[in-house]
Amino acid sequence: MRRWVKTTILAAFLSGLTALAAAQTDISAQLTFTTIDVPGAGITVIGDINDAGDMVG
Amino acid sequence: MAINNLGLIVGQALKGTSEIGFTYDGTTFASIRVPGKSATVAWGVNDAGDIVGGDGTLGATRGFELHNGRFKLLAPSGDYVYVYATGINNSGKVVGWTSAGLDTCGFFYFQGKYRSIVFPGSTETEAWRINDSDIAVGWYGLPPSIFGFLLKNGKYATIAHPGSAYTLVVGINNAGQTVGSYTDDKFVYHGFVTSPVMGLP
Repeated sequence: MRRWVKTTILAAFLSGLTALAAAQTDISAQLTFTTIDVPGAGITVIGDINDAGDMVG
Repeated sequence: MAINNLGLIVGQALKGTSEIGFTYDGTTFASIRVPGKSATVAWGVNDAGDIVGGDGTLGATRGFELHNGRFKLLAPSGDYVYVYATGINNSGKVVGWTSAGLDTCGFFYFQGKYRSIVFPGSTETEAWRINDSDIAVGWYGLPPSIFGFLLKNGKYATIAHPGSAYTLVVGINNAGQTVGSYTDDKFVYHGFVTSPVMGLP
């Protein structure tokens, strides 16, 4: 019984978190993503961009 | 690592057992080192050359702002293992994040006052940049995923690369273009740049 109550509370909490996050605006669909891969690199991580479009990473 | 509109780059490098910050103007490197500390990292720079980052050791840091050659401590209230100031705009507004083990939260600082940046419902939030329109960006955790976020006037919006488990947004310019990294289905990281954000929340 106690385990059931704990599981139910946890499920409700996680559900609440998900619903809360889902309630936020998602602007991803409005954006165009352009991938940047450094030639020959296994991974690429971009750190910043200035107003001229220069990037570092 | 960051770049301002004059092309000045800041970052950090390992030198022996120490971690030092640096600036690079395209020609010359200069070290940034907080006296007496074995670790100094430079994360952000504005067009005035004000630099933000963290200093301490590899195991614990506090935030700083370097202005006119003087280091100013940035210390949000609370007990933290790591404090990093990560971005500063041309108005002197600073964002960063604190960590106390698993508890990682973003913060905003301006003229002596701090505010928390925590994406609602997230398990962790890191704020990384703020542009001159006071739009802050960063990323938040919502296991099993990580998403980018944008914050403007107290309202949050998610930025997620399509189909990716992890999207980490760490930069935004004054045109509203954001940059960062995402993982593919093999969890390999790729860089990205977005079109300018429109229709803010």
